[in-house]
Amino acid sequence: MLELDKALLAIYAGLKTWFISSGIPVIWLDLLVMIFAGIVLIAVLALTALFLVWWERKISAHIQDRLGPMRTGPHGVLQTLADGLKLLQKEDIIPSKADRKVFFWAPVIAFVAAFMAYIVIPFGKGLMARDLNIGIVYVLAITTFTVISLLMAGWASNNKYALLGGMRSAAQIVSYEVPLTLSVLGAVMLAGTMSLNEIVEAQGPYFWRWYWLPQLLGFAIYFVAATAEVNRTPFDLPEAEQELVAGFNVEYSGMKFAMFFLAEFVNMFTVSAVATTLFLGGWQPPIPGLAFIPSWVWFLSKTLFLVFVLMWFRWTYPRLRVDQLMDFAWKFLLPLAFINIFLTGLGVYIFK
Amino acid sequence: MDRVLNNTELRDEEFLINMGPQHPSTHGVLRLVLKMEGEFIRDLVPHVGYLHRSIEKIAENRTYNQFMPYTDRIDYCASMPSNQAWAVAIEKLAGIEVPEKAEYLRVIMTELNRIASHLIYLGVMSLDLGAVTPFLYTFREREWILDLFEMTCGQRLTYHYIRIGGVSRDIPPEFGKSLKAFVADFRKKLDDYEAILTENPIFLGRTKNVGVLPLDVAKDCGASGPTIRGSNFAWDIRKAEPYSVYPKLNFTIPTGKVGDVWDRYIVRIQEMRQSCNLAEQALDGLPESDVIRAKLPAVLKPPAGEVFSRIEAPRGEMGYYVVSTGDKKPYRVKIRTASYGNLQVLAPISIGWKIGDLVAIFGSLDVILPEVDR
Amino acid sequence: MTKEDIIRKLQDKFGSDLEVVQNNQPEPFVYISKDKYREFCRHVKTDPELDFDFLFQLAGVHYPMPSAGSGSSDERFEVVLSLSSHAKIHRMVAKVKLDIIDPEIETISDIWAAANWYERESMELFGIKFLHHPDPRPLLLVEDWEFGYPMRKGWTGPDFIPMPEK
Repeated sequence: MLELDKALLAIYAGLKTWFISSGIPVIWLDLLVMIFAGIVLIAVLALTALFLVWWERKISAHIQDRLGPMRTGPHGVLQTLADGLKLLQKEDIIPSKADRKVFFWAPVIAFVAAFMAYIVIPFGKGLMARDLNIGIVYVLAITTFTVISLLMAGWASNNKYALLGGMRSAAQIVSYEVPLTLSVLGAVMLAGTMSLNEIVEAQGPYFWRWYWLPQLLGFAIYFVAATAEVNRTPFDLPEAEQELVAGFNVEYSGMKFAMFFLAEFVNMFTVSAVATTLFLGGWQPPIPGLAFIPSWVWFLSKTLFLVFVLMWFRWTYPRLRVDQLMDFAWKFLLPLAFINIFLTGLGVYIFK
Repeated sequence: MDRVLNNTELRDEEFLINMGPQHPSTHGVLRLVLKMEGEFIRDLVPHVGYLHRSIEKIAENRTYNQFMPYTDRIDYCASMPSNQAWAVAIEKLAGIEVPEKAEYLRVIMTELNRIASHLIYLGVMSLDLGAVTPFLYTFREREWILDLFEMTCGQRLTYHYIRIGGVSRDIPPEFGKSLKAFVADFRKKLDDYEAILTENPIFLGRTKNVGVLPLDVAKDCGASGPTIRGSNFAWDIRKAEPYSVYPKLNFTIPTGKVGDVWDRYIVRIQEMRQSCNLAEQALDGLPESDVIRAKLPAVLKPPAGEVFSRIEAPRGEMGYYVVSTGDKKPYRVKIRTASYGNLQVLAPISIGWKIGDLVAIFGSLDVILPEVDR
Repeated sequence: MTKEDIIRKLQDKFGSDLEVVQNNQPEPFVYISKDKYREFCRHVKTDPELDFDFLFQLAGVHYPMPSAGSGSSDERFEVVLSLSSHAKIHRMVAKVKLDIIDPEIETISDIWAAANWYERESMELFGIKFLHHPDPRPLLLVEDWEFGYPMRKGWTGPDFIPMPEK
């Protein structure tokens, strides 16, 4: 009923005939479409980030037996907007001995890298910006950009605490990249393709056939490694307020700080979206009979559920110490990921 | 040999880090100068004195009863035992006998305050380790205790309830029912807290075998209370040098096995359970009487002499050395607080650990800086 | 050990260097002479029957004029040790008299490590010198405090407003 893809295709077809009839080269139309898609993506993601900030505050409040924001708008829905406006007005303080260029570009890179991953994620049936045939590899490559921005932020701040935080963060993300990538391989092997849209199509509208079941181990490893990738508790030592007073972004204020902050939430959404696509069937409904509910609703609800689980982790567990974190990645997750690949390969060979 | 750490004596890979005085993790205003090598702590020097209020000098200019409200503020998280320490000291000096009902009321109040103080410890400790939620749960439980105190004496934090010779007011009739309901509910809540933390692998990883306190170091540095009981040493003033009506009440002293952070945590959890039992027993044994304070002259003038007394406060042993000249004001008051000894233990046991461990170790010592600085 | 036993044991060892304060407190209060101070501390800590392994507190007291409450009536400074034993569960108060003009005494922070901070506090608040102390910095006052020794009787400094006598 609300299937956007047919509507969008119809609009595109209509515009194309209009362009051809008025003699403008079609390439301008494609360019326009790309710019339009980019703007829509940024708008949707910015709104999602705002929503997630509010949601985190509400979830944390209810877990802690209190209410959370209640006054700005009904149940505090306008709270994030208020906070954003406040951050916009703050003075942009740059430490005197900081490396100004690097200091400026660190949050920009963090922000841009967070958004670029969404080009290949299928939000619904036919709702993708670009269906690259190396989809998942592209996503993994882009999410590594955050390491650079963290190191830049830590270094440019000219602050011992920030540097320690940045380095720990970088070590953590790089370590957890390896089990993350390996756990993804299991799903790729089952689907036989790296394009995210085709992986979703291959899972079909039957929830018992989605890859979370045959890839239970892979899903678990992916989710744990993803929590570490986005620096969430129990892996949030780089931002541990109690120990190093906010770590790598301690010297940032105002809009630059807001960029780091929003980039964290967008990253959370990214890893949940990729998990949904690979293991929970993406935009597929769980049983064919429920296909009347639009596909993007399915995608959104599954992703938001995984984001909820990530937030649940944060407000329940204490945090790991940095060497325990590293031990966990290299000595526990990595061997498990290898075992997972081996078993998946065996399974694919036997059952195909 | 001066113990100020400065940049001239560092080797290549070492650097100085300054934690505090404003820092989310030091409970109170404490400055720690750390000599770090990478993540490891090579040396630690605490700087205290930011909260020095010269309470001992003030005591020389107040009468004995006028000094009582100052004792509230020495350790405001455990205000009832702080009152009681002063009352016990002066009663020992002047030979005052406290009526039995007042003694039972003192036990109820100090045991409830022990629970409240340990709840603060629990919340702040798990907050330091990253688990934010138990902090709010423990403060929610503490609200009930504060309501009980407000019902009795009108105050939520600094009570001035225990006076020399007894207590200031009797408990209202609804106190008993509320206390029993609180104790029943609290035991279940303690099980909840244990479920979140005690067997959690992340918590165990952060606290097991971290910051082990050997018993001889503890005794030598003056540690007391749960800090020394974690090192497998059953020393409690309530059992060793009993005061008040503790000889008539039934309770055990929990101890740890190894002396690490986890042991000190478990000791405090079990002490909370024991305090529940004690408060209930004291309430049940409360005698029917109207006398809650001994008959004393309006201006108390204890006989000339000195006294040395101590009680078991939630953090350890708190005691007084008072010199009196027979005047209405004391000549010299020396306040010895539990955190003073417990903080001296920090430097020996945290050298060689990492900064993340330092937070856990410091949290486990349960130091309150106003006690140290007075 | 009871109060009398402790006193008798100490008098056997220290004879005339020890002076017992007569009072009706359950703990023995003794004066030890200044030159036997360290030997006394080491003896009460290591002797297996006395076994005072816990230094509860170390206080300085200033007696600028004869004072009736403390067992002696000279003008002096005093250092008061409160000791207790974990194993034997007995307590004691040991005091040593110091010169009124220039109070100094040896440190005992190598005997009981707890004495370290108490001695630093007495140094800055009373002006008592503890010889050979490993870390003689101020503990509670600021490093550049230049207004004298606050805990001495009759001290006045900036912002010090005495309570009005009623």
